[in-house]
Amino acid sequence: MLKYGVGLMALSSALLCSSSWAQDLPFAGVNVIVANNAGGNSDYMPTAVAGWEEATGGSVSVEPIPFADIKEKILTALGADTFIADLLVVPSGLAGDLIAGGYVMPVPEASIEKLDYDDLFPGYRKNLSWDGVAYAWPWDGDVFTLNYRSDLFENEEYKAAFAKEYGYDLDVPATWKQYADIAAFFSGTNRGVQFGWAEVGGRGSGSFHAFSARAVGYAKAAADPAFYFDPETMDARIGNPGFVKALEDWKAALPAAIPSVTTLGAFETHMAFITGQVAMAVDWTDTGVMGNDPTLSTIAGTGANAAAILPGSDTLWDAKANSWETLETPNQPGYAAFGGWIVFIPKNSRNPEAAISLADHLGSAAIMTRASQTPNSGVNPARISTLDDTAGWVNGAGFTDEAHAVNYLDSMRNSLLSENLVYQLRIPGYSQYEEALELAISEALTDQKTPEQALQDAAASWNAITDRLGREKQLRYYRSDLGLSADVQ
Amino acid sequence: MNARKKQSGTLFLAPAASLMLVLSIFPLFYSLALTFSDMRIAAQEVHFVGLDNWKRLFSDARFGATLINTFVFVVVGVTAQFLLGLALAVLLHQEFRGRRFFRISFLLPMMMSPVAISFVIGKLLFSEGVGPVTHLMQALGMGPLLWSRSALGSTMLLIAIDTWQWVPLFIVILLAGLQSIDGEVQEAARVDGASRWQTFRYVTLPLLMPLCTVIILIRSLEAFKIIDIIRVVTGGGPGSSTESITTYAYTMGIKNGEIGYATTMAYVLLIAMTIYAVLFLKLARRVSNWKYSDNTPKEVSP
Repeated sequence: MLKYGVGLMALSSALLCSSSWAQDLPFAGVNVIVANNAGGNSDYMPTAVAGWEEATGGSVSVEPIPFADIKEKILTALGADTFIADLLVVPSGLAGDLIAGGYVMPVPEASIEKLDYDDLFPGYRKNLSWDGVAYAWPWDGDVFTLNYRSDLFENEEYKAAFAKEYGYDLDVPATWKQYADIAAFFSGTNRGVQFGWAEVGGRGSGSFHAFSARAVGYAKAAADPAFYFDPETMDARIGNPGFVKALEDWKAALPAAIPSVTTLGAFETHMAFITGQVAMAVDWTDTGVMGNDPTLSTIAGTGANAAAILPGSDTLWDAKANSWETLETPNQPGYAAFGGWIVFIPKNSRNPEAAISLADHLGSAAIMTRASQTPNSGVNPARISTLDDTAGWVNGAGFTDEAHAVNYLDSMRNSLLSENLVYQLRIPGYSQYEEALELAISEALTDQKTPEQALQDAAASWNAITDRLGREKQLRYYRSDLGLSADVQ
Repeated sequence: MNARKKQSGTLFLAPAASLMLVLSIFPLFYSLALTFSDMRIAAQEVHFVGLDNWKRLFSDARFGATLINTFVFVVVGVTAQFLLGLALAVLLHQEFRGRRFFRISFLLPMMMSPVAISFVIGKLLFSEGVGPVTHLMQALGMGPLLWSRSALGSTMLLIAIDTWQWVPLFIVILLAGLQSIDGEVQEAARVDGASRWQTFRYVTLPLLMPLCTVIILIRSLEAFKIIDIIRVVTGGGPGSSTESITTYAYTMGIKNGEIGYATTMAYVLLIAMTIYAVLFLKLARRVSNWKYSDNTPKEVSP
């Protein structure tokens, strides 16, 4: 009898426990499928979601998709209303296609309150919304900065030689002209590095961004929110003299570049800088953290990997006035290349509640900051508070001291808070525009066409793409992307 | 009885025929229909656009360039592979020490992934910044090999990689062909006073011709669809100078989402391959006839 009594008590207490367990762990037994970029981001995802799994009882399965296939796989599945994942981590450039297609759900009000959107840099905050409605959760931010070797720039012998040769002091370049001079000074001269510079010059590997990072200085006026297109007509601006001058200067600087520059992707560019091959590299901010990793970098622990806002130009093409303007101080807009990986929840998610909860977790300041400070996470800062955590960067990301970390963080802060910052283009059909421009860049850099001819051909291609996709529709999306009213006045 | 036999024959064939219809004929006609549509990835609607895709294709200068590039890959690449493969097959057909080792080693490239080979050769070995080939050239005072900025250099590198990978296929097939030739035929030629070269030229090669025709045709049809090596090594660049029809169709269809236009390109590739195959077989037949008839040697040197 006693045996039965004890058994009954044990059973009832187990039942009680399981009911309170179900209350504490609201997603026990729920598996959330996350579609994510293979490598980098997807490798880090299990670490990022561990806390959520523990707190909610849910589990996460990561479905890595090779970068080149992301758009096709996701849009094909959603277009056919086929389930692909509960949560999508995608490039912000895909936002136009996902939102215009009506495939993703808006972010619930409760999540917006939890996520503290005001802590996001304004550009990234805007990146998450269309027409004032938030559709995406934050996760990553991407901006191009200039990486330079501070040990070489501060070397007295080199400083004297540079001043003698070029007639001004060796310093962080404020213009692309100075950048080219410095690159030529260091290239092939046994001054600590082999080559002057490396950039993401490969077609299909990011040359759209490398070129945009240069062109903003020559062709983005602070008073004009538009950059790539005329916001009244949707005519492409990429054939205008500002863009042409940017490409001409890029091409002229090629002799001082690492020889493989026209094939370089992001990782190769990071590596060219952190393995001491080049004096300067313009690319994503991963380079700064990777430069501190002794397993990857030959300059780790030296504090020589310094960063700054992009160089610019002291002449600016005013697309509205159709004329060049000479400036007293160089125009140095930031360029939020790629715009970061952001999180969407598709309307056909099988576990939308759990997916929302997971997206809230990933988008929280603590998780985003930890991810940004972890080398090789594929995540970069998108929150102001992340950049304010200097100690975290010294302790977590391997910066030699506070000054070293502040230099890195300021390069991002100054770029992202620049009033003239250009964001990743994210209208529908972005990849078509990207492909056409990258072809033109490749043709110009390899002498198949003059920069002017290549860019004018690319502009014609852009106009044809716009016409194919519907000029009015594209204009509406572009204006919305710029924060302008949908209707042209 | 005959009618019943026919009926049961039809019934037995029906499952295979239906399967063929569903898996092969239907996709062919479906994709043909797509060439007359503006189908895009994830588009909500698909419209009939008549011959628009075809007109666009024939006014697309980039497509014309990809067509020429593809023919260059096929003609230059497969010719190089055939000649090298034949030479090595003849070499491996001889008796020498370590022959088995070389026979196996020569096969290895064919067993490897084209993507891995492309990366190792194109991106590491020939890396313009840090590759050993660059270092060797610099050590010889020749400066770096800037192949990625030259259309000719990039094309040659791609053909070299493709050749390195596919020569073994020619070796295997042609070696099997050489081994199947009755030695007495060659022996008879030698007894009649033919030199080694004459025996090869007028006896061995004609006997290998049917095999050569098949292997060149199969490899050419495969080479028309080249995409992997290009994607890894040059991405189609510089400009579009190494872009093949398949890489362009991939870019348009998968990256840009223009399924209708990309399918039209695939159809043009199919047509080009068919024309090539017909012409090649005609040429091969003519060469074979020429070999066996009027051009046979009148006499052989003593």
